[in-house]
Amino acid sequence: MSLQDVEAKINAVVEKKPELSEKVTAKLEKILNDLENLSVDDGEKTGFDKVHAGFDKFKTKVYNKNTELTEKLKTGQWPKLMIVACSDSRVCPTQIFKLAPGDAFIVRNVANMVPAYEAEGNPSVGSAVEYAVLHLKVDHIFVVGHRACGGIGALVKMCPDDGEYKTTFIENWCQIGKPARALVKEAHKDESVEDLCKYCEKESVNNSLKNLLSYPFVVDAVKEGKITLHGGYYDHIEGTFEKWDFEA
Amino acid sequence: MSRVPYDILHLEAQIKDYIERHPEKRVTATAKLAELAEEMDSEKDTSTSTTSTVFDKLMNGFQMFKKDTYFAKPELTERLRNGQWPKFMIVACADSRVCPSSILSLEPGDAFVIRNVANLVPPYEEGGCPSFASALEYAVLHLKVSYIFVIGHRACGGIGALVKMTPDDGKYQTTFIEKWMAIGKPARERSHVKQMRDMEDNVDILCKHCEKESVNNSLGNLITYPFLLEAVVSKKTSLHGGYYDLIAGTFKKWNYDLVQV
Repeated sequence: MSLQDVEAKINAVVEKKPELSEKVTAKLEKILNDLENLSVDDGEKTGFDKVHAGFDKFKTKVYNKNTELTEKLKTGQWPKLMIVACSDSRVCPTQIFKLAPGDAFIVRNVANMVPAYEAEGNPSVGSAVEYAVLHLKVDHIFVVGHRACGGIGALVKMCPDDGEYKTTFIENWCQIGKPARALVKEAHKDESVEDLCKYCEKESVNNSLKNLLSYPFVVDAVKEGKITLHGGYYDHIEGTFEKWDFEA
Repeated sequence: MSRVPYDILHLEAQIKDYIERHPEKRVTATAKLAELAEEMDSEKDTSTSTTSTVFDKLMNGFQMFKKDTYFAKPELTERLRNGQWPKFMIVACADSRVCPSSILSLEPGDAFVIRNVANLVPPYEEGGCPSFASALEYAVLHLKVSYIFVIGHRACGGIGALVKMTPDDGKYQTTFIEKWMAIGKPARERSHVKQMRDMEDNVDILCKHCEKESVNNSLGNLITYPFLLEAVVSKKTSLHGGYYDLIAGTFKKWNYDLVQV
């Protein structure tokens, strides 16, 4: 959004809710004041300095502070949620949902993919789904996709149906999303590659959710009303989050 | 005729004028104003709903994230709109208590993270386990991370399954869990679990040894990937192990050097 756009938005809100005028005035004064005194963020801690300082911060602000939670988690974990998210450094679910320790069992891989049952070879996702559904007995599985996903980019622009893959493993993994790509290419034939990627990022979430339903223990849990499936999409460029329920 | 109070219009003009004189602050200013617009737009009656679901909590969390981080750090947010340049690749367990963002207070953009049961790295196999290998390939060849950090933790359910189950004859009780945990069998051997089982009743102690040994086993498996070995030898990437003891409240970190092999 441009400066003009945000200004127009603020004014529209004030016109609609004149009771907020005083609050807005005070906040605008603060913004102007902060701008005049703002210094650029510099002197970033690098590498492991940041890691050690980060753990100390966690201990002070979380571990030692929430003693009841910390003590409880020493004896086990009872997350209600399993999340499958992308490994992308910008889309950590703990960060974007401000999760606390114990909230969610989280699998992260390239392009937040769930392969179909027994299609995986070495079952990195399968073992996690089994653990979450049969042992942790989570209530919900949430597959979260995101904008500008490198893996989906590889799926849309590479992964040829006939022809050799250029990457050693990336295309082999992202090809899980081929059904999503086919749907998107059919529905949005003449659109730009950038738009195809956006559609595919969302459709791939649905494809992964569909793959979850190829796991017999997931199907059983869904049928018995023990678990529900959901999709999500984080757009870090616009700063928005969309969430939907997935029915078979 | 505008019903926007004069004070507000005047302040907006002052801000616009300031930005014209200091164009380098445009991004920050626009972000702060956007945050204000959003905050005022969503000012509602605070009627609390009686049933706050898991997803209500997530969406509230997202709003807090936008306030605390997304809008509060506009330069970071703007930079990340254009790409990602994480220095770290982290391999951590999917366990809800050990998210690396949480325990190491990481920010968006800091680390490319793989999470699976028991933070395992399978050894290189042509055409094998693309779930892990694709992430490693992307991190090393495309993101060109400086550090790869494998982090294990205390009371790991996966390692528990490795220590107490996962028999050598492959007659597994689980569909996938033991098959996955079999990656850790060398660690189980090296931590002398079998021998200790006769002497040590406390399974927790056996598991602790195995949890740490498994991190080293995973680090060793990393260098079976030719492109990773090359990056380590040419000093583009270094390997590190970590162990979070959620019972003692401690975090240990060590370097993994090729010389150890």
